[in-house]
Amino acid sequence: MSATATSPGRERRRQAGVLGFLIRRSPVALALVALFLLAASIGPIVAPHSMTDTNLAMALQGPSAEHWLGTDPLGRDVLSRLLGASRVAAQAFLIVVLLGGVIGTTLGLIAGGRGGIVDLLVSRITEILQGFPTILVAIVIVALLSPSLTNAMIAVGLAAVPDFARVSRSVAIQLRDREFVDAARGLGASELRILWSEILPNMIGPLVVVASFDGAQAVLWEASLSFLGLGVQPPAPSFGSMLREAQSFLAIQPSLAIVVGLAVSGFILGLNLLGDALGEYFQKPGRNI
Amino acid sequence: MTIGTVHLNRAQFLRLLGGTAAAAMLPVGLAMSPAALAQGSGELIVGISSDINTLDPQMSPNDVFRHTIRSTVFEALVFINPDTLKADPMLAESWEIAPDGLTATFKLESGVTWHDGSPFTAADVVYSLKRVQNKEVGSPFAPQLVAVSGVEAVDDLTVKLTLANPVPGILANLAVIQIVKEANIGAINTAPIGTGPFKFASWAPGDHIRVERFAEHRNAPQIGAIEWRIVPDSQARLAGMQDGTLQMVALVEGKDVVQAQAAGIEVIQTKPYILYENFNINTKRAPFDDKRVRQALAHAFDRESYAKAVWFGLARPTINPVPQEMATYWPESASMYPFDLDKSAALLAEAGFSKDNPLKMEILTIQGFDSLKSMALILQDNLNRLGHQVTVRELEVTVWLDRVLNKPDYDVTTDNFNTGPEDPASMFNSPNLAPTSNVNYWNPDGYADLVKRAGAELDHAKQIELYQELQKLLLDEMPQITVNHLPLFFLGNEGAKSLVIGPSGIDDYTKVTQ
Repeated sequence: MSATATSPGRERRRQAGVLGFLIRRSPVALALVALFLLAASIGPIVAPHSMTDTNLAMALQGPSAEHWLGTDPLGRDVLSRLLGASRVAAQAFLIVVLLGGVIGTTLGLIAGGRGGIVDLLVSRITEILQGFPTILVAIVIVALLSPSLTNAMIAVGLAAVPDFARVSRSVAIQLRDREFVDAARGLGASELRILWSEILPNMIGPLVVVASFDGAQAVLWEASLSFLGLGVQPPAPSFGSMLREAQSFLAIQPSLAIVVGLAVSGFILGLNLLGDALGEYFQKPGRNI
Repeated sequence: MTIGTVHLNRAQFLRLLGGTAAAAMLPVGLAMSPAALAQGSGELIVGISSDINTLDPQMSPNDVFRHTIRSTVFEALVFINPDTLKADPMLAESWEIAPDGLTATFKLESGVTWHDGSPFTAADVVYSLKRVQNKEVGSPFAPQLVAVSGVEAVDDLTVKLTLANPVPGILANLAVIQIVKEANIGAINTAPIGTGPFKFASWAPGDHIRVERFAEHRNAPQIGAIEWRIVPDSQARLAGMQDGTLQMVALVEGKDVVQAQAAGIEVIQTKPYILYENFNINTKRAPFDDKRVRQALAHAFDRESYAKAVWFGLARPTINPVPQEMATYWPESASMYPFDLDKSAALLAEAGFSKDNPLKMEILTIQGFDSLKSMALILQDNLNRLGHQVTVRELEVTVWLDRVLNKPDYDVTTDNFNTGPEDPASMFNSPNLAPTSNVNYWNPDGYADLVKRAGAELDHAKQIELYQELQKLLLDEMPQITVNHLPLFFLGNEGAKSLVIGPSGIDDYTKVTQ
């Protein structure tokens, strides 16, 4: 297991392992996610037009050589805005996974590793957190602070804390009395060291699965909040605000809604399929990143 | 203000939570059951975008409210005819204005009863006008009656108004003052009683408002009831029109009109200059206290393209809020402030703003008004292209009201307003331009005096001259940038087409059939 998996050679082999598995098991998911990662990273640089320049004379055009995916109600290039929106979605993904992952995993590790009253406290707190509907919390936080991507995603990130906490807690409980942990304990390792170097590396797999699901959820929440005008502020593009705009022009320019709808569904579908495939991969004992 | 209220209540909120699909489905779903009923007993079901916030007809000038309770349950002394823009009899059967313009005597309709059966008399009129004037009541219609110094009941069916100065537009002013019953004031917010052709039936906040036929009315309606359903989503309202669950949709935008026409739905519209859209500027706040900055903003907006692209040609671009159909219109204004970004940059440079020292400004806009949001985004884009730093902030209407009117904290905001074509004084006495209380905090030397003199001038030629002077001042100072003139648009089925939409927002539903 990973406690022994420290040599660089084995690590490389295992990475090839997960990638190979994904290529065989779920090529579509991998392609979709890769496409979006590419769009998010270099999209704004390769975008054919400005994301924000309006051109009223060209409003609501269908796809053409000049505008591959047409133009929006203010004559802005839809393809360029979609590329910008992918970056926003990727930012949402990152903020949520980092925030939820760091806080949640830490809490779960401590709870699972220590047990007793600490476990009880942490478990109840995460349960309370889970009791709040995510979007309500997000709306309240955005209303208290101000509408922006970061504020909206902090709210969603907090909502992801319980998922990470529960998964890491259960893994920690499974592992804390295993032989290799006892061995480390016998060698005089402190509790903190055991959590950090014995237990944490063993939960990377399940955490990656949680991250892919919660990340997909984050993209969806970001779109929902922007749809309500509570996410990224205009004129910056986002899947949600573009969908809302498209909705009002459904009968006049349906391609607008179709293009944006397909993009956001494709990204989320890709992430979910990837999560499924990863889950399957990590189910087999002995597998790790 | 003429904007509709978009209070987020529980029902709407839940709809929002459901996201797109639920937002589109739920209102239609809710509207489904009484549809069959509607055909049989002559009910008109109207989709409106937002709820009303009171049932008291003297307390809210909001759009939605004017077109619902104020138009059906209550009546005013006169009704402004949308074709002639002159006063038609309503509760007053005839009237006479003294040659000196200082008294107006109204003969009331006889045999009118309140919905509770009690007779309507001159005392009710006296009470209603005094209530609007009462500062403690705080009616937004009080400015309409500033010149009225006395109201008395000569006999049971005659009311005499004494005016401090001649008011040529007094009938237009009275057309928006609904008459209420003193004994009903305590209960007016739960069970309002009026003299109108419809009786109040129920109001389920966030869901619907319902009124029913008042059979004893002298001009009893053709339909049994009207129910306004609150359907915030414009696509859901269109879908409701198409599947027959709604027979009418009130106050829609250009994109809805175009989509309705494509779907074969009738569009009911008023004269093309009932409303104007504008940017209101806070002239109290630097650097917007410098008129060169305000003029620069006016040059930075392409009114023609906006009217074509966002309103699909249904709006008429203009920089002058006074419509060209009015006798007081100043024709030279037509060529003023063309879209010219170089000119805009030059004016801003004069005021000290350039790429190196960019103008920082925030444009507010109201949720649910897509055209206003587009306006804000277009101005933002043009100024940002000149190197300035403009942000757009979309606010929920109550927050917006707070930041613009209650506790002023804004640079520039989009807005729309009634032109008041029935009376040249109406625009300059509205909360949008009234010297003492306008949204721009703009009241240069001589403005108040000019408004007062123009409003009291009885000589037609002199009156035109004074109003043209006002337009010159307004367009030079540019405290607000007018963008276009618009009709009010309703969507309806064949029977709904008989709706008479009044220019001041008081509509006549009595001829509508179903």
